[in-house]
Amino acid sequence: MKAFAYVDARNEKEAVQALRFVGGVAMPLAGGQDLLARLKDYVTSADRIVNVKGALDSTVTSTPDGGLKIGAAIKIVDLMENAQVQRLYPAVIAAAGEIGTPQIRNQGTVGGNINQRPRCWYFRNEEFNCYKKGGNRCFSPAGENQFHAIFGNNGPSHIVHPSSLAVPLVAYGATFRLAKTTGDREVPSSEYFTMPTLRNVQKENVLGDDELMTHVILPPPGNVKSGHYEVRYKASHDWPLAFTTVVLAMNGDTIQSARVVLGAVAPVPWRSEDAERALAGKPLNEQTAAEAADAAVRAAQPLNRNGYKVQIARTAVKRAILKAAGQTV
Amino acid sequence: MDELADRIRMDPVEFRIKNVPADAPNAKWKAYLPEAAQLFGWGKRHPTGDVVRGPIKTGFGCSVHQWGGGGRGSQARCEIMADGSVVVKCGTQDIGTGTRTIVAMVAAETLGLPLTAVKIEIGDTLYPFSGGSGGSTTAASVTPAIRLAAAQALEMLFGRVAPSLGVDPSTLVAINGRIQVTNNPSKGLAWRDGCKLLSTEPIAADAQWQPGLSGSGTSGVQFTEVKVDVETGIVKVARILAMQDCGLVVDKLTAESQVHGGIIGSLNFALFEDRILDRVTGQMVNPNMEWYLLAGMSDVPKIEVHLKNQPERGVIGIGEPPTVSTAAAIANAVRNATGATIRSLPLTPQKVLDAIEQQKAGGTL
Repeated sequence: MKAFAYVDARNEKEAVQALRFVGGVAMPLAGGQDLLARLKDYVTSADRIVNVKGALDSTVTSTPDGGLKIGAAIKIVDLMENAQVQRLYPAVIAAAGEIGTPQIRNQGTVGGNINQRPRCWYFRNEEFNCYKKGGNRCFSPAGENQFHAIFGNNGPSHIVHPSSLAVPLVAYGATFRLAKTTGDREVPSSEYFTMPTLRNVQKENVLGDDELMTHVILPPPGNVKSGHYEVRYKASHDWPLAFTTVVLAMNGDTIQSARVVLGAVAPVPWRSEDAERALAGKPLNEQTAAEAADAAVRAAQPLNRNGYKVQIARTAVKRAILKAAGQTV
Repeated sequence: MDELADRIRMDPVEFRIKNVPADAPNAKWKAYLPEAAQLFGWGKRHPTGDVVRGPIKTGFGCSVHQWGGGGRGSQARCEIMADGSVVVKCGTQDIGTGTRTIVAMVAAETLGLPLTAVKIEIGDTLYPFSGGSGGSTTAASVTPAIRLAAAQALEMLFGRVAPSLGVDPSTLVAINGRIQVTNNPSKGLAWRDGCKLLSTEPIAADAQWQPGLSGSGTSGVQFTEVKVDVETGIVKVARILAMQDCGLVVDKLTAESQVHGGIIGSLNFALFEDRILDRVTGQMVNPNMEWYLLAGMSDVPKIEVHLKNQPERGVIGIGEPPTVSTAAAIANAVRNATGATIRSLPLTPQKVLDAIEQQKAGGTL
């Protein structure tokens, strides 16, 4: 990898200061489960790496409204063991448990998982200079796209967003606190992830080059049933083919309203309003789940080699709803 | 085979028994199939297409195989020292198969000693010549040389020890750590005491492979049970049973381990491994452990191994034979579960879902 300067930030102020590197590229390092691999594979190069593990909050605290504030530097394993997260946001726990392997979960952080770069095998291969690396094409439409997007395929990029945590966080309505030297801002998760356009294709979100995600803020969940279901080919250490989080606001046995978010199917965590409409006002049962699943994939636009993912996404939606209903699937 | 069996409404195992070649030492399917089928519980197999409710369909499949194996040409040296220590040297290698174990076993058994009393030295060009490890040749090539070298060293030792016992060397045996007259344990010495007589002149015996202690040609059968989730196309193997011969089984544990290895390799062939080339540039798009899928611990099912010892045939090889059948048995089991025939590996969710769709639409080609 290219030689870089290394800064050990002691607190948030030092971290954002070090990230502001005029004339060069500075990147934050937490668990390093994505960044180090990208550096070694020449997908990414940086002039300065800023270690933020000790600089950022890695705790979970309650917020006045009954939600939680999660430090972005918390390790996945620690997130999973937190009793408050388990009680209030079980779909986040379910998603966290499916990330990578135990070793990855012992090192990787929430902030890193949310902001990791895509797994697309053209993006990750230095021989292919694609849009996301400053090139002028996407290789997936004419190439091997069996693991690429089935929604949001207007282009220019057809990646699927790789984060497991992003999907339940969007479903629960999380907000992200971002900080830089000139101040901080809070961005709703529904606005954080960006669909690719020719102007912004090199990023998957609104995080600035000199900005750092410091916290995930979750609102109180309310009286909801949530379900999370992932379809992956190998039993372990494999990326999911499609997955879903559903959060159902209940009125007795009837679904009052729903949030349905799909993962591994689009360049961003994919909110399905079609599925949400098919759930609202319906009883929580198998027929409703099947109908909502059909609705979720009605508008899918698969590429020429990933049509099979439509069926898999449909199954993920159906089973996530059944899990929310308390069924074993 | 299963498609033909279905056409005439015959059980696939019965069909194979009727159609495999005649019984021979390296062609034992007529015997193995019924025995393995019984052990597996093949009688519980449903006809093609699991009709159970729910998305998880179960299927049973089987396959038979034959392989060559066997080797020649190794050389070995066995040294016995005055302090009773034994060193065996051979320029072979252990690539995870347990070569050290079987070399030590053959030498120790020949010398009547416990395994721990023999020091094994392999993996160096300066040791007596042996071939490469591949083609299921190592055990059959190496163990005869070890046997002969140890036997020769022992004969030389008897020659040096017999005078002190006042007997002819041909009356001596080495057993249970002693050198003694056959069937007369009291007329003998402990191994170490016998070796003391070597004084300043240790024994070194060089030998090389000869015909008569090894052979070639193995046969085997395998049975698998799979669960196919027809809503995702995902195949999970629930269990595998293998019946395998390899001539004389030198060591059961390492031989069974070889069978495990071959089966896992073939399971990867059936389900996971795929060299995917970008069709526009020809570049491999998955040249890494992330996307060149290989079974992890949670993907490997219960594997039951039944070794068939054929001591009269000598040592044969077992590295490759077990890898031949498994993929076919898995694909046959998927067909039994779903009714869909898939003729292309790996059995990815994409292929399985497509095949199920085709089957619903009127059948797979």
